Amino acid sequence: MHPFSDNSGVTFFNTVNMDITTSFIDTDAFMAILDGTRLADDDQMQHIETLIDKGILTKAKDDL
Amino acid sequence: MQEFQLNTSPFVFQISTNVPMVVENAKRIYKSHFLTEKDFRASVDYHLSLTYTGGIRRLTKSQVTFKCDDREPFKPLPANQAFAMLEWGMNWTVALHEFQHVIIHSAVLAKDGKAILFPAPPGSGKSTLTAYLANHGWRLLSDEMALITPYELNVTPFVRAICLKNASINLCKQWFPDLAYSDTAFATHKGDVAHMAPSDNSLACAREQARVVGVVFPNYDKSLFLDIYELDKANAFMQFANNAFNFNLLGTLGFDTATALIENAFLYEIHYNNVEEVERFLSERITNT
Amino acid sequence: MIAPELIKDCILRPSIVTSLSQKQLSDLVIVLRQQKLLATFAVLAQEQQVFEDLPEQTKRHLLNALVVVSRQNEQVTVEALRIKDILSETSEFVVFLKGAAYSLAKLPLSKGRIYSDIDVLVEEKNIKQCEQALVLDGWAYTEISDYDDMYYRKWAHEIPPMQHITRGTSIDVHHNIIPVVSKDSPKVAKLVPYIQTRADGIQVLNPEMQFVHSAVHLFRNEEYKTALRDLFDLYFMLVSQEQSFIEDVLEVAKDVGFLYETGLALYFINHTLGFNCSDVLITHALGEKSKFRVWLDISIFSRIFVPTHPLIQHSKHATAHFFAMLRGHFIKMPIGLLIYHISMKSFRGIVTKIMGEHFFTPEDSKSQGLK
Repeated sequence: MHPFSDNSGVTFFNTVNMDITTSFIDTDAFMAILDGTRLADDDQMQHIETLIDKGILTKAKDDL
Repeated sequence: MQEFQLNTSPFVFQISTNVPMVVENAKRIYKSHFLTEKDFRASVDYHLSLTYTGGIRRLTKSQVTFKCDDREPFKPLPANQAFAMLEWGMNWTVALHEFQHVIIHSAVLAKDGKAILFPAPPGSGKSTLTAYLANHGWRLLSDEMALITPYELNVTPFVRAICLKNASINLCKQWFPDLAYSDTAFATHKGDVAHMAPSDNSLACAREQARVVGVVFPNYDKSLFLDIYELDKANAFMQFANNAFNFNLLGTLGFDTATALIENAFLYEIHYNNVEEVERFLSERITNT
Repeated sequence: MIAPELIKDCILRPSIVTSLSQKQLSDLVIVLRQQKLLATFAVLAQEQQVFEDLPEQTKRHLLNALVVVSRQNEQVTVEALRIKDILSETSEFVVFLKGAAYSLAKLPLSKGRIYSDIDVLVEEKNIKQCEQALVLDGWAYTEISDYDDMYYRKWAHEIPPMQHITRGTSIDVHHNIIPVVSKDSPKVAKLVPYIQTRADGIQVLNPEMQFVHSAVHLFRNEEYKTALRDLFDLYFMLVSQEQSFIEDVLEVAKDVGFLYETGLALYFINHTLGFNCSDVLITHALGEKSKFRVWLDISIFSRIFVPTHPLIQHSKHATAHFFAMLRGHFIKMPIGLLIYHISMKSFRGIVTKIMGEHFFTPEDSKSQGLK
């Protein structure tokens, strides 16, 4: 994973299938959502769901 | 069958051919880097062949075929495209076999040791811009492939002919009447194609690396004089990664190199119809980097 | 120019390359790449401390070859799991064969073994469903002529090769290890006891059966361009095992009806690559066939292990490929089919000589239509 320093997005590299997925989500916001220090708005939630679908993010057990 | 070598640093190709136009064009374009048997280098990287497919059809509609080892990546093409096919074949060979560099489908030009990458799909006017810059104080490192040292931001030159298409062939011939051009191959899958010899200066500096400072995505648009957009990193990265040749084999190393490059380069998308303006802008931008 | 023996000698004794001239070394790299042995050599050169003494340019080519092979070894499990998931719904077993199987079984030779497609064995009765399942998953036929397509479907052991449209992986699905039309084609049921299943469900043949299968494949093929590489596969399977392995291999070979091919393999591992497998065992295995047949096979096949490349100083072995191809057909098919297949191929041969090699390609006929 690489969060871009200008906050323009985060790109993920799947080392298993060599897929590159870039999400145009505000980098700081994204990190804060992952930390749980902030709630995602609808748009951000959509990005996160796409990443979950792609197998890049997985839900932690206590979230389920 | 004739044999010659092209000493296109960092790679040496040895070519066997029975197509006279291949030899003539290679000699015209690569000049002192075209080697005949008496000057052959002992170490060769790839043996390629370009030969007539043979048979009676050769009398009416002659075709040529390209081979690297026993592999034949392309369908045969009409014989008038033989030299273009050699150029494409050399690109294919490098893209398929070389993994010591992260390879991006991109033109590379440098000034004062600072390089700009121009990754772009066909039709973006990339080659016309390349030809113009290469003859206006910029050094050509490559027209088609940027060889980037992993984890570093250096490009190794791979100085080759510039592939011109359609209208830009006559345009460049008007601009630079003294340069050498290959025979034009009409009606290829890319339209009309002719190759332009790299400048002597670019060839002379073929062993000097340059540091990447910028990535510029050119878009030729005849209605726009010069529009420049600064790209955000995520967007630029996506476009850049789409032009990667060998990420699938290099894996994380390719990805990390590309993200490092995007983090450290200026990033523009330019829409233009005037190459002089583009040159002026880039020269100024690079001096301030 | 280099001598043909250098190709095998540099694999058997990598240190000999340090005495080569720059030109010989450059030629050697090019020929090894064409023979699909460059990565094998690279692994051995590293293991035996030869690598560091090589010139930079040679090292670069060896490293390039290693990138491909290590990526392949990393990716194969993922790819195999996907294929298994798709095919296991329609076939009782989904057994990976040859190159992919060597990687999956982590055989020592897989460290330097490149392959361009994944071979898999499924149940014959469900071959149609397997084909459909692959199409639904995004696999498409690679371009082949109608004639080859017919050959694959009607007489051979495969559905035509397919390639995944986004991942680019190629797959060859087999439902027998040799063409079904051959009289001595074994029942696949005979192979079932030799299937090994990994914890993740991936199946390969056990080492003994893998050896037998490779031997059969080598001597019953029509394509001998990489015969030397295939012989080295067998060689490295032997050297990484105990002495008793050979006897186990011969037991398995006898059980599935391929004792003779296995005997031939052992013969050539001894004679071409200088291994020391017991002559008693080889004579026993070859004893199945007449002395004349053994003599004929040995004289034909001994020449296919000499690589062919313009950089190699040739002796008179060029025609052996043709004889070997004839033989490949001869033992695979009943005689009626044999005549049709060969005459069809030679008709194509003549046409291509007259009309140019690519007369049959679809692309070509399209472009002809335009002009």
